[in-house]
Amino acid sequence: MLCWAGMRNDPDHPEGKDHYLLVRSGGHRCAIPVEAAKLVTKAPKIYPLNSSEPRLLGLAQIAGEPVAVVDLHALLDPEGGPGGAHNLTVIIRKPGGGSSLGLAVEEAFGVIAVVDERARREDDPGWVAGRSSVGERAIVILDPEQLFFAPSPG
Amino acid sequence: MQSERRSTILRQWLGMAILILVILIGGVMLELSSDDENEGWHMDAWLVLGFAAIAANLLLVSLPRGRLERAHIELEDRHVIQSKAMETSLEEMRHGDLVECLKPIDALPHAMDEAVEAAAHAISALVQQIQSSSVEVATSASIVHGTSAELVDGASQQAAAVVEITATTEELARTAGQIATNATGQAKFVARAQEAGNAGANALEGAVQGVGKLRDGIEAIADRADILGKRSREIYRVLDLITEIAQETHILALNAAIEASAAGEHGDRFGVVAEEVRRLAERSRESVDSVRSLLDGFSGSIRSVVVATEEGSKSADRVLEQSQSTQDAIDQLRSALADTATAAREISLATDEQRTASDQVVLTLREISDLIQRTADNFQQFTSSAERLSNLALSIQLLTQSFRIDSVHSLKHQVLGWSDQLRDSTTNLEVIEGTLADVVRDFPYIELAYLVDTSGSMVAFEVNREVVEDHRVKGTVTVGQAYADRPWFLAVSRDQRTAVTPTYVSLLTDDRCFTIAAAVRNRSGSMIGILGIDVNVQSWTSI
Repeated sequence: MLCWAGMRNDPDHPEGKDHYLLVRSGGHRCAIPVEAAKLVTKAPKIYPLNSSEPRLLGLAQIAGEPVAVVDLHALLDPEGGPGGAHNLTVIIRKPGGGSSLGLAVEEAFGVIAVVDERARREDDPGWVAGRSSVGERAIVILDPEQLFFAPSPG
Repeated sequence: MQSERRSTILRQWLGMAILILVILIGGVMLELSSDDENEGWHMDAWLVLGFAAIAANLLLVSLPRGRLERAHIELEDRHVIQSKAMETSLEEMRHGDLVECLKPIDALPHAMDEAVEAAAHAISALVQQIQSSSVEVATSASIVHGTSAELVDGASQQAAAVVEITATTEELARTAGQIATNATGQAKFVARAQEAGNAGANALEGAVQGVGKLRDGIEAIADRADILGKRSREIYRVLDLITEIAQETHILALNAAIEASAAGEHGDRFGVVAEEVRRLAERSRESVDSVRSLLDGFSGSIRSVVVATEEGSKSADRVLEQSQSTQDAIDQLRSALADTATAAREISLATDEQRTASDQVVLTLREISDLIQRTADNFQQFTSSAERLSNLALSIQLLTQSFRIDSVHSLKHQVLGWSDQLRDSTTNLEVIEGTLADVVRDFPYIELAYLVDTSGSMVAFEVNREVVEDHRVKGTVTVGQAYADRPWFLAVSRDQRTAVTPTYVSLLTDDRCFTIAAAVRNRSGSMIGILGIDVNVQSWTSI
């Protein structure tokens, strides 16, 4: 179970747990490890690339650097077609420094702390670290490092 | 003759003078003989004178007197003969037989005979003239009678037409009065309608003004709603700005939370603040959403108000337009009512005048009716006068027919001619019937020609079938029927002359007719029968 990060001093929520940035894209809610989150920004101007990868929306210029922007909804539901609006872009950094990746999401709720065990399905892709819930809503916990190597569905 | 008479008178005076002279001479002789001795000579002289006087008297007086007396007797005998002849001629003339009068009379002196013949000619010419004149009078009287009868009929028809026109005009006058009454009532009704129309127009004008004010109010509301809409849009812009700020704050809070989380325990407090900021941003956004929701409702209400005001304005416009149309219609109605009132008053006045004129026309028509009635009466009198004139002409015709003149128009002359034709054939019935048939055929105005014997028994007759119907003949005229009591039979039997009866109604035709009857004589002049001719007056006068 996840709880908001502002509540981590709550005795019901032990410390030392990981914190995540909770976002929503279409009908999916995802939790991004906060240490991987670099910046949340409004949707920048995206320059589409002549690529066969449908999940890659294009390149955006963030703080003077080119950043590839990926449709999170397309990652989560590759067969479901286009997801919701791309209101925000979450810039994540590759662990250990280096390149950044933009995740186009519809909404960002805030920083939460994961309480329950991470449950991962066998058929989940590699960038899914596990599954949990906030209240009665299921969330997908992302693995930022694997996102940088996420293979193409095709 | 005159000189002979003077000679006779002179001789008478001469005889008397000789006697007186002898007596006077004798007296003087006697006087002289008493005085002297010459008495014997005186006596002798006186005797001589006496004898001479006697001889002279015989020679000069007595002998001529005897001759004169003998001549006088002879003259008287001739006078008797001539008087007899004159009497006979005058007798024929008295009975109207001017044909016999025209025959020369040997017994009369030539001058007298010529005088009688001239008189007969003159009377005959007069009779013919009277006949012609009476025919013309009868014709004219018939024309006048027909014309006056037509005029009487025309006057009667005119009177009937005038009566009908009078009744129609009276009805027209009554109708005019009724129309005037109705027009007056209509004028009053129209006046009330005008008052109602005026009230309606005033009410409609008030309603139009009210609707105008309502439209002004609606327009004011629309203006206010528009202002509210503008203000709402401004609020929306502010809300958008707040939303944008909240979103920016939310992003900023997210980044702050990320940074706080990355700062570890040092960032906890900052993370709490960032979370509060994020919550505030969230609440701000929620508040904005609430405000936006309320504002949406408000804007919807404003739009509804705008729509409602637009609809109200349109409705007001329509009401105004309809009211204007209604006002125009009421104005037209008022104008029409005014025209109707004027027309009704004019109709009332006109019908009053018409009623007055109709009354005058009725009075005039009644006067005309009286005049026509008087005219019809005059025409009736005229007709009666014409009828009397016609009868008078007929009487004159019949009177002229009492004369026998040598003319085809003289029935007496014709009848005597036909009686002469029957003179030698009284024993031959076929000849008699043939003669009668010829008479009826040649003279279509004759209803019946017949021959009776001296006892008044019908011997033969012939009926004009063109005038008399067959069923009329049966039982009316038969052979052997007695006619001895008929006036014509009695007159002819008594006077032995042609007789003309007055007119009477025929049993055969129901028309007026008269009978001319003449004696049929044999060679010796004895009457052996009477020929009767019944003349149909209508056919006769028409011819």
